[in-house]
Amino acid sequence: MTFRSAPQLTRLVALAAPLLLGALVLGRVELVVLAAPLLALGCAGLLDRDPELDVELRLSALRCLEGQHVVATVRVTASATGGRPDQVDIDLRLHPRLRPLGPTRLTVALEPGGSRDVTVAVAPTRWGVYDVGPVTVVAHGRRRTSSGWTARPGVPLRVVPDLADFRAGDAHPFHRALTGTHATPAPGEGVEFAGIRPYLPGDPLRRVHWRSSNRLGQLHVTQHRVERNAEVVLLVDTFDDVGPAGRTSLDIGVRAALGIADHYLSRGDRVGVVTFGGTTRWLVAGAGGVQRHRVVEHLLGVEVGLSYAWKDIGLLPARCLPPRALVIALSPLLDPRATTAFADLAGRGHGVVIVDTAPDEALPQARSAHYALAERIYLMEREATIQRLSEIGAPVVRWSGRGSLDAVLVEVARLHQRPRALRR
Amino acid sequence: MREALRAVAALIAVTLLAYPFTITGLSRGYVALSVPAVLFVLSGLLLWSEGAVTVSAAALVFPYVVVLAAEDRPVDVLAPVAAALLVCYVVIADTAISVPPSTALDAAFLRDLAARCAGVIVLALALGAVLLAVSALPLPDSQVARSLGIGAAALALGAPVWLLTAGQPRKTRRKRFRARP
Repeated sequence: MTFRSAPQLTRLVALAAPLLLGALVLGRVELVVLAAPLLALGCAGLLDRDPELDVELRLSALRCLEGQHVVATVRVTASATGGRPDQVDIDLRLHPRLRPLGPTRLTVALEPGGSRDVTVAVAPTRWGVYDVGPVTVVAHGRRRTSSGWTARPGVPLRVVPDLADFRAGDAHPFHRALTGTHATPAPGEGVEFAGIRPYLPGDPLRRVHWRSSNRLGQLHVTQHRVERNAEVVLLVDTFDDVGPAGRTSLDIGVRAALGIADHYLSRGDRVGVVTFGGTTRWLVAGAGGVQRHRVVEHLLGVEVGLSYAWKDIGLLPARCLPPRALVIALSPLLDPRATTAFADLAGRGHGVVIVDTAPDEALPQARSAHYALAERIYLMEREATIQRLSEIGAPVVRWSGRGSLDAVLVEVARLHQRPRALRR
Repeated sequence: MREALRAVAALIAVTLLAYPFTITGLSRGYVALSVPAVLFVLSGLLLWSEGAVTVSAAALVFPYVVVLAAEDRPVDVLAPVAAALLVCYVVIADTAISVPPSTALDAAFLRDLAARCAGVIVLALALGAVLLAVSALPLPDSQVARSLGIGAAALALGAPVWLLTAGQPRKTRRKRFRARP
């Protein structure tokens, strides 16, 4: 902390000097009496030492959930060897998305060797990564004749979005070779019951279904379905963000993405994330608890970036969109670049499910008859877009939390398991 | 709280402006003289900038200086009170300026400020009393007394210059490195 002479010193001199000159010219001792304490104050200040301050910014937690709050503590310590700080102004600056639950600016006095903690509870208003700080400390020393300042950089606070409640059935269009929890149509070793068939040489005896064998007079065995794991890619549309604060399309999309990722990762599947919009980012699919943290970190950095560039899925690296992955797109379906990309994905043979994240309050209130007409046209166009996407194999479903994808997942699985005519 | 500090400073300013009238009474000339001073003080209190506060403090003592210059009166024994009010105004106004807007003031800071004000008031009263007592001493008209007076005057005039120069940060001379040919 570097101290410089404060305006108070100039003020004291500017007042005392003319008074002393006047005293000499007029020969009045009263003017010396007026000037003397001003000079004495300045001299006492200059003979004093500058204070030495140490500033520390701490957070009670570096991560929190939406709705929770953390406590930021600014500790200002005055060195015992330095001078006495007459006034210490502490200014803790917060990101606009962080709401302070107390004063963030405070003026305190410190004794040499003493310290002061200023605690402010901070409540984030939205998920994301926000800086708590920087903190600026301005100190006045030497009887207010010198002042200096120091600053500490902000500490990033990670606000994890609320986990949307999500569960889904086993239906999945594609399966990988590794063992998992999704029952496939193929018969084999598994838990899921598939049917009963006549005994064939080589069938293990423990598979014999004795009740059916007795009834039919011939050995029958139970058949099970092989359980495999799957790969899911979450495609988050960041072209637009509409709706009221706290319930915007991006809020719904990110919370849903986190819920879906959590569900599939807990079942041993591989999950990847692609943020498709103004800025395009991706996270290659992976499995396990570490991948869950990666997904959370990736989703925390999601933001809407304004871009007029026409983007398609061609700019994504191939490993982000594996050929046998289920793509769950979370989009308000407002930007044609996004809908074109979804159609492109469906056309390339991916299993695509589109989750409509546009909130009900996305449309503004009708103000006139013309507006009502425009709203009808808009809704009809939107309906046509959804219909077109469904026809090409990318069904659209509104996000409604737990079980909202079950029906469409069955449909997509059936769509991709039917035999296809190959062009040779 | 910043506004409360400003109000206290304004109260002291009003008291200091009214002080010369206790010497002269309500004569028209001095009332007219104090009008521009009031305007300067008001502008200082409303603008609340470093320069405006300095000008307002100067304007506060201006009527008093004029009264002392114009009237052939005996020594004002209440001058230390005026000095205490002036230095108190300067300290409180400087504090009120330096506190950033919408800032909460700690109770300990306010106690500390009150103690500092009390300290400067005591200092002003004590210094004033000593100076008035010294000036009242019957000194013989000798060469030594004149030398002492000239020395004190030089010291008094040199003190502001020293304050200004000593308050500036020292310039460190940087070494110049020249590229070798």
